[in-house]
Amino acid sequence: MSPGRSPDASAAGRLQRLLALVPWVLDHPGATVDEVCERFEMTRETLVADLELLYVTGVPPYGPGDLMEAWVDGDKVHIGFADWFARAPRLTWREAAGLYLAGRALSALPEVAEQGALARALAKLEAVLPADQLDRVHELAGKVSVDLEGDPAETTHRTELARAAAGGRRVVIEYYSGSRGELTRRKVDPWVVFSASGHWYLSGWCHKAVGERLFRIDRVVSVRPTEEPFERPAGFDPAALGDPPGVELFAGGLQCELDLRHEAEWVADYFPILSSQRRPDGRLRVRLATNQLSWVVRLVLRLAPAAEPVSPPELRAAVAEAGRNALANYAPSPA
Amino acid sequence: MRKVERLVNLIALLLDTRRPLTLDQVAELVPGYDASGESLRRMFERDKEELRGLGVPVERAPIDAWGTEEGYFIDPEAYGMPELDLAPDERAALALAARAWSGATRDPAAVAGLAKLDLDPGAGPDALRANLDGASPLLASLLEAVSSRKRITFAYRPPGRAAAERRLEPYALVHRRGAWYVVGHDADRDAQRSFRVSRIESEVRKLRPTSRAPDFQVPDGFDPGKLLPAAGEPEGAPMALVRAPRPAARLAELRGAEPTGPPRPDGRVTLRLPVGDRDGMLAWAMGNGVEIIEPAELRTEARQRLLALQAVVGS
Repeated sequence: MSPGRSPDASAAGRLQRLLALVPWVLDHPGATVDEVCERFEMTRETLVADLELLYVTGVPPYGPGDLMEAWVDGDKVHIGFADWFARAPRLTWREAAGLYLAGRALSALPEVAEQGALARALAKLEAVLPADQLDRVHELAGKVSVDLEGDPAETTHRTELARAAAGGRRVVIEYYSGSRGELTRRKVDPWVVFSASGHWYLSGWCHKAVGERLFRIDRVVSVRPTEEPFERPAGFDPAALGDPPGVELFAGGLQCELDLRHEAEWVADYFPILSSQRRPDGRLRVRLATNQLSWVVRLVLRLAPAAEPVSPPELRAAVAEAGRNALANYAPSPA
Repeated sequence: MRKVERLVNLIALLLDTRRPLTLDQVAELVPGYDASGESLRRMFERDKEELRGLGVPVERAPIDAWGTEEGYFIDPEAYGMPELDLAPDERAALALAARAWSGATRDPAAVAGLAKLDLDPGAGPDALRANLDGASPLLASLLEAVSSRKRITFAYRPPGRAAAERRLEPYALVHRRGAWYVVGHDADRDAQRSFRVSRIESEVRKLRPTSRAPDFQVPDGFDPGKLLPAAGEPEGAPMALVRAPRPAARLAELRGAEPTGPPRPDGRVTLRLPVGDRDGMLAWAMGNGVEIIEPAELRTEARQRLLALQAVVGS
């Protein structure tokens, strides 16, 4: 059987959800429609359709008590006569492998390891996996290498920031702003430390900027913990994070166009561009929105000369000026 | 009768039965098996295989002492996920791992997997999040191939070039700096190669899908962790001498750059640091207003890149 892509993958996905949903609702009597929908990342319509499907199933030939009850009662989800589905099916080997591999990678982070909870949880997971599955997962673990660490300086800062975030204490950081080339000192409420696209970020409230800010942890120069407590804003949802890097940079209204030679085309994969178009000369013209022209200037210099700034004119002018300044250092006979 | 309904009924029946049921009994009891003979058998085998893929083990046993005919059942013990008995902090930690694996993809299988262990997807330590994007369909196929040692083929697009069909013995999967790589023996080039998963442009197909036996052996001493450079600069690399504005210098010092003296009158700091990746060094210098002094070859390269840029944008 070929993996993953059976022609009826949606049926398999739905069945998998149903087999997990029934025991979950039985385990959480009085669960509301909203709770079940949130838990299973589904819409109300999908849930109602699932319950309607369950309502006509059970143990054939359907004697008394052999047909499942499943309906919405007010805002509550009711499922009954489903004893045979009281427990969810075991993890598939792939689910077990994913949990185990991610768990091992996270356990390597000092801030996770020092808590010890993940190591204990993984040991409990290993204890209930069937022997053949456990063997397969262990063997696979030797063939999958996940490194979340970053370099030593970054790890030190990330560990300190994660500790402060877990303990609810403010920090004072020195931060290098790449686009401005400045070093600033800021007091920050560290809400959450997260990884996205290969970098670790700190999201939090910056007292200097008086606003929510995202910091790349490999640009943090120092971290000083304080004893000042902070509260996360009501409704703050860490699960909503993890979008492309530097999201704040791309929220602006300034649109820039760059022509990229093939060695610079990774830009189109890496940043959230608005559009791209192949030019007659073979270059790729990309359009991106930003709120910081200086960031785009720096990008063009990094890529020089593989990226040509096309518009707006002020981008071209800013690149020309930055290039002139840089070139002044490279006068034929250096001082 | 929809397939999902048929399968739910089938599972309920096979879990509930006290003795193995023959295929004919199953077909009579479960609505939707509107077939007979060989096509009925094929239909049932497909269902059984699908259930196995979801972690539902359909077992087979003789229906009587003479063993003349076999029947099917599901052992409730083998079916049900045992209670893990997790403390709240352990549950949160495992939810973090599950979330890291399922990543940003809204994969129904990943959501169901979380529910099997009753791990709240929104839970987990508020203070830390990670994303491995492990549940992407390509990665699932690759894990399967690596685990069962099956040769695979896929269309691969190297940066800046056209996509081409590749054949690979996949030894391992490696996650570095936010990207997955599949590493193995490239049959066409007869060499070890790594492929960035995000540049695979087709499905991953097994070359011998019908055989369950492994297609290859992984060489002794193979270590997936050593294939790609780890984070940070390699040791013993050639050294560079640069002049950097003070903020950029502070950051570089954290990564091992050594100032050769106090800041100069113009505020810049002279640093000695390993070159590491040549292009990475050039990009860092150009993007941060850093002047490369040595090696001379890199200095010339930086100057030429700036001149080439000026030729385009300078008026």
